[in-house]
Amino acid sequence: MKRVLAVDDTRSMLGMLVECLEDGGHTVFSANDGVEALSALSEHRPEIVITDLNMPNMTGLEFIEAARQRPEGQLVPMLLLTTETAQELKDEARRIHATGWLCKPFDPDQILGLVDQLT
Amino acid sequence: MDQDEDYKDLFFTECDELLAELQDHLTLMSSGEHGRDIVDATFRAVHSVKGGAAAFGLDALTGFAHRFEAVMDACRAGRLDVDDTTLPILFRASDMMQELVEHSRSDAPLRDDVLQQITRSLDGLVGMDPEPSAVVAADTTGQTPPAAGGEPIVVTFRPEPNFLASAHDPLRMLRGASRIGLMEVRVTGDLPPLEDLDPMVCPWTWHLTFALAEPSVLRDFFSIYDLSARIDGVPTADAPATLPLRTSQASEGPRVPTTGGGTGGGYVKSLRVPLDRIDRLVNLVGEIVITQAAVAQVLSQPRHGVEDTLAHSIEALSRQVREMQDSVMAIRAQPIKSAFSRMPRIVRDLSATLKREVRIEVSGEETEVDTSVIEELIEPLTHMIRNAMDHGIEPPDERLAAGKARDGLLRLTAQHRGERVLITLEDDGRGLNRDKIVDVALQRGLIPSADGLTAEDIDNLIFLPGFSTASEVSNVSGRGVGMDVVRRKIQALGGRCLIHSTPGQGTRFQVALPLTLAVLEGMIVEVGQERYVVPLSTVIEAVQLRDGNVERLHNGQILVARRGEYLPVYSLADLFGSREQTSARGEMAIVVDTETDGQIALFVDALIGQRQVVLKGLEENYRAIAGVSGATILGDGRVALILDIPSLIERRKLMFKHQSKHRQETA
Repeated sequence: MKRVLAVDDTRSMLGMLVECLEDGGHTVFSANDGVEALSALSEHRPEIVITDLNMPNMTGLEFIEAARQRPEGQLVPMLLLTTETAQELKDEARRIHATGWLCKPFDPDQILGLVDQLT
Repeated sequence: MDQDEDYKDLFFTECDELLAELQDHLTLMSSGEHGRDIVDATFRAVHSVKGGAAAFGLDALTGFAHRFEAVMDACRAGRLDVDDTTLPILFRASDMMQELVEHSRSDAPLRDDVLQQITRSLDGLVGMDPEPSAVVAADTTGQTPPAAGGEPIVVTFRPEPNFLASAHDPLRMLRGASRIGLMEVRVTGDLPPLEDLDPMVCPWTWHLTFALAEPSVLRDFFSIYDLSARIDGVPTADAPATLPLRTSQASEGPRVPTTGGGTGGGYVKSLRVPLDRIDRLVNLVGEIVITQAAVAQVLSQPRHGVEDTLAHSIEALSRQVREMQDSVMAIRAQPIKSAFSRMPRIVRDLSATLKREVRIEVSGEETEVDTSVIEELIEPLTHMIRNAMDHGIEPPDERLAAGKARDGLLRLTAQHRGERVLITLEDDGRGLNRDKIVDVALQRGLIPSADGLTAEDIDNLIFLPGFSTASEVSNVSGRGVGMDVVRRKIQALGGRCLIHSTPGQGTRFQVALPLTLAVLEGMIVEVGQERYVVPLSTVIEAVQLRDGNVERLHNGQILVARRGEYLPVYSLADLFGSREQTSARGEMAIVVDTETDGQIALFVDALIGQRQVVLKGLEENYRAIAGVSGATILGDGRVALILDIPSLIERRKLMFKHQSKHRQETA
């Protein structure tokens, strides 16, 4: 049982991700964009974060970059879950210390496996 | 799968919004707005459609959105100008995407030739090769050919300088690897001299030997370290996974709509509205009901001498207000399916944990209940199922020995009954063990003695706080929290729990819930100086108390004869637990159904009338009181308490038992 923060601006995506994680027995917090995710990070202190990349207000990359500047975000694994595959974006993810890159559509077992593997 | 269908519906609703946004943005662009924000937002809209479409396996839509997205990406990156050449193509692409959404949603016709044509135009804009890069991840690069079966696989894992800063942990990696067949670990690398040591850089390289590991498992495991480690030796997949880009519809030729015209979809259009706006509306309608009642009351007093026409109008207004209220309530109503659909999975998971073989049959999922009720229902429902599976249904061999089918059966149903929703959970297990329940209740001091307890009383003991029958506390049900939590939750929703058990044959739990939490049909009664509201759903009739139909027992209890049956008559003072015996002041009583204790009669001084009242919680403004479910503001501005008769009765029974026990001991 882990504390997981799920971030996505698309309700159906977020819903499926949250449900998958809850079915795995985790406590899930959710946010609709990077800005919300930052405050959720401080408020709920998740043990792992799974975030979409393209979101209004603050993208997943901007969120992770900002989160890594904060004490509560430094040691938390942060995974990007996206349909993007561009190498420049992956390079950017590497630079800002994102933990991993996952491709949508996701496989629930894989997501749950990763939560176990990384926390 | 049902759940997935729900999300799919939600996705289509989102598509409508995204497509509308897309149109707006394109229109802005065509009027000369080329700001980064707008181009970004356009990209995001297309991108979101693609993501959802891929998740639901809508290949045609995914493929098209992917190409559209590539074009928007080029615009975003400045590689492509948004001008008179590109804009018309973008508009057409937006229309095409709409068509594809409709096609996916309701099998609306798809113009295949147009699709191909627009796709070519899009590809032409970015000079794209006709096979775009895969949407699904290419996997970890590996130079080693696929391992032959049984050969150990050696994976070299070299963290890059950002490994630790990216919140990876080598120890966790190794632990994880040991779960998928790690046999041997060799470490190479030198620790730099202390003055050069950067604690955030991991200087080691691990050589991990795996035996009997599935290549795909290794790929899944290591791919997540892609961004911050060099990994060699993971077998590559035989064929890279790519997304099918050809539309499956294309091969079947253009479709003919099955339902006639272009609108024949069969799906209900929906609109997403924030819940708090609806709540505000619900509240407002509630207030209107009160005001309307106040006006009606003024009119009903003859001294005002109001003209008939006005009275008629007010009557019409009442009818309209009522209708409006019903429709507002309907906005919040939702099929109970969203709570029920989770239960089969819980049963499946628990069957494994508890080593039971259990089937669940669900019916009445279409029954509509208030949204907030549904949300609050999931937890108690889950707990009821756990309880039934842990304590009710026997292990398979025990069932066979008892001549039952090997699989236990749980039946979960919902149905409307009057103003309530009745949810029933039945199992065909061993039934409640009443001897054991009494033992436990005595042991824990929950009851003073078992004297005079009926079978039903005993069954209801399991709802007492601190009760748990599992002799060993199992980790599924019974951890100090038990059915009392279920009952508390249900009561908080204004509902009741009933239990009926037959030894050897099973147990039936019933939960009766109000359809809505906001409004209540009430009977207003006057007792002394106060007015009270009794929920109309519990009131059966009013009776006149006369010499001919009233009996007084030696202990002071008054009974009223009603159709050959004697019902106990209580005053409110009785029910609130006052020791004073009250006499029958009023000559009127109302007959109320308590659900658990049959019917009783309640003294009242006067019946004021029936009306809808808006429920206001006491907790927010004062505190919870046993026997009172809330308060309301009457038409004349007075506050009246809403009585919760069954809980008043329960409270009284409990006190009565303690008193009689006390009397026995002192005698």
